[in-house]
Amino acid sequence: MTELLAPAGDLEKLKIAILYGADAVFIGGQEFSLRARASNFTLEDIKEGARFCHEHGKKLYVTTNIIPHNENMKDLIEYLKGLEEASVDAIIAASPYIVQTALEHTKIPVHISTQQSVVNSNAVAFWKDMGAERVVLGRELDIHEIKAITEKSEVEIEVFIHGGMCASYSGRCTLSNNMTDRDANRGGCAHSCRWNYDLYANDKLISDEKMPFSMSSKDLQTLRFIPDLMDANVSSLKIEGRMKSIHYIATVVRTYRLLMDEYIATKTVKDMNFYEEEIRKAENRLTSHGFLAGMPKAEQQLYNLRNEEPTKEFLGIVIDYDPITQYATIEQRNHFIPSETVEFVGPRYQRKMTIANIYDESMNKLDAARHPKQILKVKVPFEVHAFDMLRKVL
Amino acid sequence: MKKIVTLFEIESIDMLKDHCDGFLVGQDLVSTRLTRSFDVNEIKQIAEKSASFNKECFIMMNRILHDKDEHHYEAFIRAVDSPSVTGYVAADIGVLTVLKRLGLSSKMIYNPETLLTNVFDVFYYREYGIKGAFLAKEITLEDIISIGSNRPFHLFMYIHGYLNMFYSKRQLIEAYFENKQTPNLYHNQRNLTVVEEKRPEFRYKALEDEAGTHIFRENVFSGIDYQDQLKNAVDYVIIDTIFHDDLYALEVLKCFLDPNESSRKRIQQQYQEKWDTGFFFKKTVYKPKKVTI
Repeated sequence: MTELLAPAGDLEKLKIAILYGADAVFIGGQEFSLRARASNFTLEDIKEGARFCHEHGKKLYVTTNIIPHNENMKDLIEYLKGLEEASVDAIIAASPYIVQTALEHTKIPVHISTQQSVVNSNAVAFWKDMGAERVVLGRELDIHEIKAITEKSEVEIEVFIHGGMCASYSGRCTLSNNMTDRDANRGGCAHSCRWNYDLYANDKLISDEKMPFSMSSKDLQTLRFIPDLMDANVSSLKIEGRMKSIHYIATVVRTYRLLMDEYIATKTVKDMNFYEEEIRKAENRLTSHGFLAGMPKAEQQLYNLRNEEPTKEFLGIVIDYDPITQYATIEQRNHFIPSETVEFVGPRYQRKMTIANIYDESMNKLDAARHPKQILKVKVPFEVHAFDMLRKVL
Repeated sequence: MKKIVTLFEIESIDMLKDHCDGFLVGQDLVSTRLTRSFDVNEIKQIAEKSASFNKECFIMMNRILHDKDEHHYEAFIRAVDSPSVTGYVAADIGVLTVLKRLGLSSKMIYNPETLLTNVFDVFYYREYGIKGAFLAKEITLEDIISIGSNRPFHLFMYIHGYLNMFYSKRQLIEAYFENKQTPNLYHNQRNLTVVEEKRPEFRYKALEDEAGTHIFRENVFSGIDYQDQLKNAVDYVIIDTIFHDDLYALEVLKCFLDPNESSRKRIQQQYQEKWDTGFFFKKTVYKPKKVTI
């Protein structure tokens, strides 16, 4: 069965990812992990995260995928043993020494990070021989290449299906190191590939002043390729984005989960447009299928078109529901008012209603839900659950 | 410590041979960011000529390997290999399988560009019986010396040249002009520069070739003044002359023999480039607390 693997930047996101349909979650610890700006997990958090995953029959992977310098290896064995004690199901690593140390000193399975840019069967076999359980492929492969690799591979293959993409071969880019002194391979990537540049041939400007040159790619979105990837026996489909919001995680995970379940049950996807519309609600970023259909062209790149304004569709998250009074307790995330038509969305349902009244925690009537994180009460004539989302209907 | 230089013209071997210990050449079918791409016959000729002068010859194979191209690699190695070829510089660990199949793994030099940054990972590759490996360009002189003081095989590093900092498989110049709906006249042209929009004083050479798109450091990296410190840590240093011809190589090699301030300045002026010491004395930041651009 193909695994749906989701990112989580904290425990709340981890729980959301699992509840909305992920089979496994990957997180960063406070050591040896990329994404230094993500709110990385302490060992105690990791233990709690693993417990939550296992209680739900799911798995937890921890990234240890920096490209370390000499001084970064201190306390590696102790850290890995700590992860083992926390019952994590695998580590994701790029450094051969970290891989080897994990295999020698713990029983934690090892997944090879995309930082190694593995895009051929020989490299997959190399890491298999070293003892890896899984290899995460580079993003520079089309669907036929992925299929050819999975056919030859004797280890699990993981493929990125959604989220931000490095424009460079992952792990081979040091724009950030050179331009900002921040080490891209040790969690400090400044995303210099997403900046705007002027392009010159000798001293002649050949880029357009209104449309600067950019290396940046649109984010990956592969809904239409999921059936092919599942048929290709890819073991794990990975969503990127440990720094994303709970709304993003819930929406993206839920959409891929529903699609995968439909394909498993019926061997077909009736209405791909439904899934595409759903996933667009996660974020206002332009997306493309990356390399899956072959070499990316202009359509897959971003030129001065970036729009990272967050969507305003996420109105709140359900904290609790009282079936006797039918009041839902909701934590506010975006502005909404009485008489507005909204939608409650859970892992496997979505249902519309019109809001009659909004109350604060003390049941004072409000003319609007204005304040982020404010606790509100709203009457809902059907059962909702903790972690369900309240969304605007557009 | 041997000095290996990239090559622009076969004829220049005569001119360069007294100033270096060998040459590094390649073909764009399996290599990228070359000073010049040579065909198989030319490469064989370079290897033989190098050997006749008691010089070493390394073959660059630094394209990232995809399964559909593997037969090119094998055919290429079969065609060029001879006792005159000292080693094959591969950027992808998958190439080791091809070399092993041909009984040539002892000629493999692994150059994963950015990935060999510590002594522990360097030691890991010892068990594969390869000839050596390149250290990442992004580590300090102190780290290089520390790694090299107890090296398990031959250590290589770039010591001079425009070094790349970005390698994408995407044809980014092509895509940009496709978006503008104008023809791309700049594929494989060596006169491109990208300039930061917000900091226009920062200019970087760019190249789009068959392997993808490459962006290079702003300045030429030069460790010319640190040969003494490096000589006990590194076995081979590479002078990469991309964007130049062999006269430049000659000037730089002479400067290596007599690294004085005036010749360094003269070359920089003549070729309108700045040299710096890269990350020799500059540690990149690990785990930044707050990132602002």
